[in-house]
Amino acid sequence: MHIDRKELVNRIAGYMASQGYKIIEKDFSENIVRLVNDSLEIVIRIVEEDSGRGDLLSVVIQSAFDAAMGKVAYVALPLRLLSRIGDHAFRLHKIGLIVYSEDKVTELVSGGVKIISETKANTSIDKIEHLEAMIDSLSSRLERVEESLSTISKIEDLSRRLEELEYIIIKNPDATYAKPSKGLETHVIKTDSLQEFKGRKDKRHNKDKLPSFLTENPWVEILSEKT
Amino acid sequence: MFEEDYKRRFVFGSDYGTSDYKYGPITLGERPAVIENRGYLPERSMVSKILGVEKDIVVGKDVAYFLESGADLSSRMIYPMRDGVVAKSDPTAWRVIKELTKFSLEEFKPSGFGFKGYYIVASLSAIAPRYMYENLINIYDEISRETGLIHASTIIPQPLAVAIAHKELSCVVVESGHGNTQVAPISRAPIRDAIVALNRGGSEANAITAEVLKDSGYGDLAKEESLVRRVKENLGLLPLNLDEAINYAKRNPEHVRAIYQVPGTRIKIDLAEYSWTRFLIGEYVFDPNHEIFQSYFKRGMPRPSDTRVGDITFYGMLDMAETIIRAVERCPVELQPHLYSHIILSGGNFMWRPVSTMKGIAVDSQTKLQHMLRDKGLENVNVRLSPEPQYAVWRGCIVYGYAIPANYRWEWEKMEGWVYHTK
Ligand SMILES: Nc1ncnc2c1ncn2[C@@H]1O[C@H](COP(=O)(O)OP(=O)(O)OP(=O)(O)O)[C@@H](O)[C@H]1O
Ligand SMILES: [Mg+2]
Repeated sequence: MHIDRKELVNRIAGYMASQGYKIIEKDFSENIVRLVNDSLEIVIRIVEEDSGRGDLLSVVIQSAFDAAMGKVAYVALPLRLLSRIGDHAFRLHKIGLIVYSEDKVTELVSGGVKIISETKANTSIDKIEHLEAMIDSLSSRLERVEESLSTISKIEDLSRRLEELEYIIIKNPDATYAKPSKGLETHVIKTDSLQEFKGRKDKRHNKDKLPSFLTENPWVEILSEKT
Repeated sequence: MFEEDYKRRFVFGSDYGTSDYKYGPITLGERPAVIENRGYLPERSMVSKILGVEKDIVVGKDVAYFLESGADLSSRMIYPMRDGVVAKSDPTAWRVIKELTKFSLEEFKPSGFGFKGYYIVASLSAIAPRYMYENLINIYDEISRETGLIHASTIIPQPLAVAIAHKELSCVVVESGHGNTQVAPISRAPIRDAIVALNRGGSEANAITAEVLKDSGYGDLAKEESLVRRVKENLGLLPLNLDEAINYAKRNPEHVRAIYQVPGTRIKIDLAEYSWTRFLIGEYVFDPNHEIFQSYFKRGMPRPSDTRVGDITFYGMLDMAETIIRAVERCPVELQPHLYSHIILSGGNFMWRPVSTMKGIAVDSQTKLQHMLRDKGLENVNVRLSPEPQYAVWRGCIVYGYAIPANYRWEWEKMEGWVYHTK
């Protein structure tokens, strides 16, 4: 694990070096790479493959602070997470985005500089509000990511159990299904856990459920096409 | 995407009705908040005594404190709208509208990060003149600067909001509130040339209720508008056929007799041998042409008259079915059958309660109108009463704000899109 992480930091640092940036520090404990380019300080914060929602959120917040302090901020994400949260928010807020997979590292969005000399009292409040809104929107996206991840793992779990069942049936082609066999017991447990899963999902759905007059309303599509 | 997400979370609907202001953010779910559309202009010294702050207009619940203080009501209580319209040259009325709007936004001011003002969707009568749009947008501008509670705004006609709330793309919306009745055929947008309006709404039903009260010996109560309204809502009945209903009442007086106990008071209203007049109240909304109403006009109850607002005529005496037919007949012939089979009734003035023990005698609005249209020779009519007649407009506002893209900007030629306000 530790080796992996170190290797990841090295790979990303190596990639940036190949793009002409000068490395000033690799922080293996915090997963940070610092570089310079024409007197500008660049900070890359790396999100690991197995990071949770909290880690990701905290990296994004720290990067937002980096940017607010006039540094060029980058977040490095595993490809798997990118496909779920998208790059729009990064582009919008000029936070750089590096994406890595097992065999590739790419700079998807280049980081920008916040021009501090222009910061009047007003605009800096605006920017903080902007950042707050961004954090808000990211955290709701993350919630969705987490939800879909947990759905996927439930599905994986179910299909694994299904495979087990199939295996049992293939192994005992003559077994009559009415007989309470070991297989059927597993089956019962399965429906229970499915029930629980459904119940939980419904509850969550209720919490931010849309009002009845909004759901399946054909006007929503028509109105949202106005330009 | 980011702005769209934001907008969807912070849509705020505002339905400015003649009697009630229905308002609130999307997070309220199925139903809006409701307050009376009125404001009170107190004596300056009185406000600070009662509320502890200087205010020149009081709206919402606080109005009640001033009623108790026995101040001169009629000159200080301002009802800013008449028949769904705020007069152009009435600055006080517009100040009440502004105060109400501000009050409603402040009630739902979100706490926490990232709030930069609501996307407010207002709804006005389909026949509201252009100056109402201009004044309202100016008011939103001021509120945005004063409080930061409005980020963007837009205004839509009430019948469109109703169609949206009922998920109907083409239909006839009959929206009858306190002030008037608008009949608007809709096919993905209101068919503007086909709108027909009636100069009758809940307030006309109040007028006949006041006469009924006078007849049965409650003349002193007939002067209090809000009491008259409650009597109407509790004792008024809608007859399927007025003559038959009156006959029924004369044959079964005890069946039709009802007593209304005014909550929290010792007042009991018993129409006794005048109980048959309960049927006049509902009938008058749907058709004021029965000869029986003549005697009321002679006595001085104002006869609803035809008036013109801009290029729209408000008919005074047209019956409800005829009004719908006129509107539909202004639409392409090909569309007419579809429209007749999708008629939606909305607005508080359609909330007449049927009585189960008087089946076929005292009915709901849907049954009544279906019957009236069939009598005029229309076969495939289908009339649907909104499940929540008073809230449909607000619901439509919420859907509209949710769906219209944030980058769709207001244009006066189209009268559509978002106006962005600077803080
Ligand atoms: N149960 C009822 N029976 C009859 N009338 C009712 C009932 N409940 C409410 N109303 C009437 O509905 C009217 C209010 O409806 P609504 O809120 O739709 O009107 P509004 O929006 O204030 O007016 P408008 O849309 O005309 O400007 C009042 O006249 C009220 O007395
Ligand atoms: Mg209304």
